[in-house]
Amino acid sequence: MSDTGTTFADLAATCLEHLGREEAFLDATLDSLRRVRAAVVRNDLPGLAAALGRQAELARESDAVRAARARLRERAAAALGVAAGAVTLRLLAERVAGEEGRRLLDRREALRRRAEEVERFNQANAALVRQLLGLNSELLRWLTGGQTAGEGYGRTGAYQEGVCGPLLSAQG
Amino acid sequence: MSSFGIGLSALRASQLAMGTVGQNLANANTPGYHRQVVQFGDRPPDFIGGLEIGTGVQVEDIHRQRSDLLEKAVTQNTADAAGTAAALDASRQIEAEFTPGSGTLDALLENFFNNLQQLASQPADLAQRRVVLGSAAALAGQFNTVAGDLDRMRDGLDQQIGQAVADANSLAAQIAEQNRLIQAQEARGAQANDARDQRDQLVNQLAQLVDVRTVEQDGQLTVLAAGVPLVVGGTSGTLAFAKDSQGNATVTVPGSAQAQNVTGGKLAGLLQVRNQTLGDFRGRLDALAQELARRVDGVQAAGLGLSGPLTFAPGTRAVSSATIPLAQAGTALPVQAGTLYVSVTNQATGQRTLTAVNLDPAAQSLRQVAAALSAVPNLQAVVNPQNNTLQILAAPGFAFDFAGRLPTQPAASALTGTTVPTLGGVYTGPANDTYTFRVVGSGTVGVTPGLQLQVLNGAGSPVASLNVGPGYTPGTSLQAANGVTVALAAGTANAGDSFTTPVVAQPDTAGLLPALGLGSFFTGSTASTLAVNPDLLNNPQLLAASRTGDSGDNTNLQAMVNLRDGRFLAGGTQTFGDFYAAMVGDIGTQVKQLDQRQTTQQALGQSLAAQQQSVSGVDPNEELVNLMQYQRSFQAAAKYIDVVNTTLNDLFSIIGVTTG
Repeated sequence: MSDTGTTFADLAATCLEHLGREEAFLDATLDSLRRVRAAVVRNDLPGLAAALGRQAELARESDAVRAARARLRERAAAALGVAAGAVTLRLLAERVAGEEGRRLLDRREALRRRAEEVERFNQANAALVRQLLGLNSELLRWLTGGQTAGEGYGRTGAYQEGVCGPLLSAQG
Repeated sequence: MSSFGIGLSALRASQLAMGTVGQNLANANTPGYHRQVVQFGDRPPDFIGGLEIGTGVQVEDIHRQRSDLLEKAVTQNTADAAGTAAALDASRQIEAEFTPGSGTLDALLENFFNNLQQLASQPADLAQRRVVLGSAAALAGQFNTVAGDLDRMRDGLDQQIGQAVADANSLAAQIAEQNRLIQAQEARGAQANDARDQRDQLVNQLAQLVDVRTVEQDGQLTVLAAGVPLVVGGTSGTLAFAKDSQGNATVTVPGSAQAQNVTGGKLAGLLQVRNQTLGDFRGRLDALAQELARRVDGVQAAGLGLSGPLTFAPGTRAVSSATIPLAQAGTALPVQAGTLYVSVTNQATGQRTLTAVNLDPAAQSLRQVAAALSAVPNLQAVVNPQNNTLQILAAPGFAFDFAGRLPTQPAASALTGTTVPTLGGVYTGPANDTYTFRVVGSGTVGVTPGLQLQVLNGAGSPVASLNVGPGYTPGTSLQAANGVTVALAAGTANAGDSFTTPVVAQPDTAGLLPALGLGSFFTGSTASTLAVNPDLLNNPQLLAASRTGDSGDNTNLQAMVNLRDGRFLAGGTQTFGDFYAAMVGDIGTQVKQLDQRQTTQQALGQSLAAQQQSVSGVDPNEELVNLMQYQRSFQAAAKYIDVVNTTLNDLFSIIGVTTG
């Protein structure tokens, strides 16, 4: 086996290991999204708080997974001789011969399906939460007499300070 | 069901939930509002390929937080408290009328008797007589004032009762309207929580007026008020205010004279005070005025004024008919079987007769009484046909009185000798009696040894034995017994000779004179009609201070003063002062009891309100905190959605999938 072959074989093994981590993370994310959704649709405030606690953990884990992914891309880019942004699993699989390459393609396909499911669920949750935020903000604005209750995180993702009206202010 | 569909159902549910929170907050201070709670439930799942697929959430119910038992307890307490408050308010007004103090009845009563007492020390003093009459007029006026106040209070209560009945009818109509509204809303499958709250509120308002029982069936409330089904579904009836044959205020159903038994609410309190407390105190006030008039008039009629016996006495109290027995003729004051002693004086000679007129009100009409009095020599009694009063006139040259004075000559004698007896003095014995004077021995008055005059009472017992033999100067008055004197003129007396005379302590045991207002101190006989006889006010000399006719005699005045300590009321157990004090005590006790009951009911009401608030009340802080927590949670969820998006974008780039 040439150095290059050894390099791609090691890279494929590392990649498969990483993809296992990615799948596990997506499973956990999907589970968390389902829990949030269930709590939201049932107005289950304690359940929502618990689900959000888990989400915070997953957000931290997300950073770690992304960092590992970035390192893998850098390493693959060097092996493939392409820019890091151009590295894909398919490109890597084409360079890995035989069984390893097919396994890599199979894992890629499984990961794609999981990611698409997570995305679909995330989009559904996004729509739901956006609507509820709007409703709640309107309600708070009406109840407190404030100009706006603030949505916290706006369309740009930047945090906005909420403005509470006289009722809330008076009640401290 | 797509995930998008699941989202829509959740959105609808959450929108309803938040709307309900808003509704709760907006009505946090609305009386009668019950906190509303959304009850969620899973939508029926889809089954695809043997797998159960959730289809989201739905709102199953928005129900009011309420406890039927608690609501009924609140309604009952509302009715009880309203009844007590109404009774307490009215009772306090009555209490104010009887509270002792300057110018009140008890003070004026005491003042009247004190002035009489002062007059007794100088009975001929005209100025003091005017003082007595002035204090009597003030006393009578205060009776009139209190009676008028109580009567106005009764009229005011009648108005309040009528208004409460009208209000109850209006509320019944509104409850029926809510029943119709609820039925219509729920038939459309809509929630009628607000209408139900309003209906509950109306029922509680009705309970403030009258005792209420409710029965709910199929969403429709049947309301029984005072035992009457006042609201049945969408139909309401009415109650009516009426008065029964005794003048009591009642609540009836229109078209029926049957009084409904009102056991709660303002109406119960008003009716209780109107018909019982007020009626009782009005009756007791009349009883006090009547007994005062009866007793004072009885003494006044049995005495003599400074101008001596009367030649004319007009009755001031009428009967309903002059031809039916007095007992049935509605005399203002009670008459009983007894004897009226009438003295008739020959104004020229001073000779005086004393005649007993027996009276039986069960048998004698006013006309028959007049006839019996007219049978007394030199006296005529007539019935004034215009007003059914009795008038007594003396024959010219004669005058009459009812002081029971001894006749100047014995009423009956069986004397065979030549001596002539003369009676004198003032009888001071405690009861009416008949004295018989019997000669013991025979001979000449003042001469024959052993000649005596024995005095026997009506029971035949000797009360005195007088020497009229040697040592007795004929014509000299001898003390017989109890203030009665006797003198025998020169002449002879024989053993067994006798003469008799009635001796009178109570000249009118029948009570005829006050009953007919003859020679009376007062006119009128009730608290509202009592007044000092204007003849007395015009001529204070007529105030009867004497039983003898002597200007310095205060015997009758003293008898009038002694009335203060007489126990004539409450079955002979209470003086005038005691009777009034009992009235003051009773209304004070009633007010105190009502006050205590109100305190208890208020405490219970506060406790029930607190319990009701814990079940049904809206805590704005809690609701707002929930909303804020939702808001923060949604914001956190939104932030994570961004995180997931970023992660996925990065992941898709390595997977080689283009995202959009």
